[in-house]
Amino acid sequence: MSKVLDWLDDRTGYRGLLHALVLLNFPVSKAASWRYVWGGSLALMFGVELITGTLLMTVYSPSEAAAWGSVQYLETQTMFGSFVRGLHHTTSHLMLIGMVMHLLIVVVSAAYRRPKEVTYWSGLILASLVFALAVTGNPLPWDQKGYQAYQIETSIVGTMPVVGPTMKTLLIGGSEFGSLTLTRLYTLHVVVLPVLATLLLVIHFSLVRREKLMSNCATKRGGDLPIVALPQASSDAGSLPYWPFQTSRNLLVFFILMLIATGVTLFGSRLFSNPEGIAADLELPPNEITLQAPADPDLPYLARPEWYVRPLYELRHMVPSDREVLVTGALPLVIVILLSLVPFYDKVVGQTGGRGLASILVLGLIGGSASLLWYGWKNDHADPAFAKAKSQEQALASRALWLARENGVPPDGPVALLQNDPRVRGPLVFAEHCAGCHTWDGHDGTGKAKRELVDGVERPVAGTAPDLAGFGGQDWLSAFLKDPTGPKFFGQTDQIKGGERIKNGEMRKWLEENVKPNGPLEDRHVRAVAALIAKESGRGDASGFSEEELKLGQEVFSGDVMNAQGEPLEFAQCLQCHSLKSGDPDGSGSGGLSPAPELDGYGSVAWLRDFVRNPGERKFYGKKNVMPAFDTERLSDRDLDLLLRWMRGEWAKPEVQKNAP
Amino acid sequence: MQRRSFFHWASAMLSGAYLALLAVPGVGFLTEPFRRKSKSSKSRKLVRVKDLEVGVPRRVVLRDQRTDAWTKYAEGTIGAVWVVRTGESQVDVFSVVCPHLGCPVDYVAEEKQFFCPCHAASYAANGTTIAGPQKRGLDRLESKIESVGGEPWVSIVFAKFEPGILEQVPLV
Ligand code: FES
Repeated sequence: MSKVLDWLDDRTGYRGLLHALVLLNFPVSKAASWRYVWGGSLALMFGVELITGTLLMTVYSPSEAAAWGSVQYLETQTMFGSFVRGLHHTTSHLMLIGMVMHLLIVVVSAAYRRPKEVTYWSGLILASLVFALAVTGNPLPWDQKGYQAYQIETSIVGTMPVVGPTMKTLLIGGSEFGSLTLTRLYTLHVVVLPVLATLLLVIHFSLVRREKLMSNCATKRGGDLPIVALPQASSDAGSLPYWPFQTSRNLLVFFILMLIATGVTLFGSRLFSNPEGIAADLELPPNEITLQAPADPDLPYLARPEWYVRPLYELRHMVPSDREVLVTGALPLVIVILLSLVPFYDKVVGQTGGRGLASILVLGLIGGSASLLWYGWKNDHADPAFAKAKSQEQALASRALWLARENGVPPDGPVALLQNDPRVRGPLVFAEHCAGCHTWDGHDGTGKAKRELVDGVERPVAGTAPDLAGFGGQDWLSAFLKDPTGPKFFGQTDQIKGGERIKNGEMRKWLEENVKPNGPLEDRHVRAVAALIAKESGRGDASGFSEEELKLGQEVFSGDVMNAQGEPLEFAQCLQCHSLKSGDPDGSGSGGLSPAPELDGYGSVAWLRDFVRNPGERKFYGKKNVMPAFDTERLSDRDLDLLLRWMRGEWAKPEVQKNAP
Repeated sequence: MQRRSFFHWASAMLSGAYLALLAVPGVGFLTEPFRRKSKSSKSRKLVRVKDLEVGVPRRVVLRDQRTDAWTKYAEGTIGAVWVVRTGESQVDVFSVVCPHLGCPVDYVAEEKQFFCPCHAASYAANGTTIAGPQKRGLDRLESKIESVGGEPWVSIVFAKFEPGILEQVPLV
């Protein structure tokens, strides 16, 4: 074996190349081994990024319609897919931290001094390339998180003086995000930046190697570099060979970092850091939510940039908007210049002063960024709206991932997954069109309470029209029958012009005259007639009423109810105003007395659709109506359908897993 | 020396671990196509038996939902078959894909033969090889005659097969 290798080395000189590449057998000083681990670990992590990145490229597809689906596919269908992606993601973050450590140690030990100035600068450029790699990699899955973060990052770029708008257009590939944004990002992330970074890495390493040779082997400057191969020779001079003494340490630190990365990948929820905000009834367990919902500006998302841009973001929000340029343009420029000039500090303020100044600069930057990060994090977590938004986003992410798992991604792209889902789109339609007057369980459908400014203070207010959560079900109907002018029903309707007619209409009178305490009807009578009407809706939760209850309901509706003594009760029957075939089989009433909504099919999809399209029709509220009609111009058939299916609780759900007792 | 050999050992082990960290997931990642779940073996209705003439092969195109990695297409062509009625209630169903190298096979009515234009493979109406470079006859699909609404229909379990080899091996 060794003969073959000797032969090969004789013909190719590969050992020399290996030495040059990985610093093999170049002496390091005995005392300082642990201090130099960061450079080596960073190189090892860069290797991990190159390999995992190449693997990811075999599945990932950079287009608006495919990006999210391909990442979802590799997370769920590809063996080790989640692991490889997690490793790629977490390692990139660790590299950023590692680079800061590297810089700090270099500056504190004054390792930027002659002859290492160029080494130092190449390191700075390398660091900005790795930073750019992180920024361009984050939006590639085209999920809400990456998409929204990239919006912020590119808009920060856009505010830079002079070059800002041009740079932004170049990055985005136009004025708005689209397919070209993604292909540009991809090109930057997988070709341009990695090639540049590899080049810089080689330069950085060869500079380090040259410097080590010159200082540790006491070679004359300008002479040929010696071929150093024998560890014995260097250990005499109080130093040890790089391999294995430094490499062992590098690898050890690298693996400790990888252990952290793997732990985060496998056990940490990569998306949600606020356990208090975990939404209930998710389709998937939180640790399977590895991707946010597909990028869709129509869906609510509370955008925050990644932590490495966050300090700038926080600062930007602290200054008045006309000074923003100072933060987004001038500040980064000043920092870059100050860091680049570090090797010259000594010249100005002397050796001790220069090193002190440089250390203060780097420590200050670290401290400043850390406090800004902490400040932003603390503010977010003190804000209940933040927790709510995050839990909503988590629910959307889980919903999208579950739908993709069940049905696959439609060819139109992943956005259609949620846009065609009643559970997601329904509340948004409600908030947009209905929540001006109606409420849903006290909020606007999406969870935001209806608020109004009263004497300068925001207060939650009731809707001017009924709360529609559970509409058409037995509970909703009996609550309504027992208190039609309650705050959840027509209590505030008189605030609308003409609403007085509804609030103080026949229904209220009927209640006052016919139901206990003033009338003969009891709670069970009301519930029974509510069951009879609820059955019309065909809702999932309005089935399985007992025969008896329905029969009682029918008796109440048509007016022949006996009390315990077998005497008929005296009350005004429903059929005097309303028509309902199941309550009045022989059609004796047919709603003659006062026109009131027909109850056949009450709360069913067809009834609701007709009602929303034209509530003022004779068979609904007729002349009393105060609700605006929603024609197809205002509300498309598709949206109306999604709204109604959501109101009726009809959307695909995971089968409930029955736990074995 | 003790110390040095320990470090040698540590560096070598850790380097090995580094390579394993990347190689193991890498191999698993790239070999995903081998672990895909086999396609469904659902039975599909093709044609009514009474619409087939005995001894006259008929080409039937299959359309269904198609899943390609993460995308699910609502409907598209998934393949085609030749259906040959051989008796009152007997049929043969063959894949149209030539078992030589995968071109679609035609039927030449005058000669009562299946013929592949790519490398001139010919097959008898019962699927057996007559001449050509192919190693096996046409791929026969599992078929049966089912009564649907009182009428007999031909139904099959559709599959595709590895071309070029002697055995008929289904593709996953
Ligand atoms: S592919 Fe049919 S003969 Fe070659």
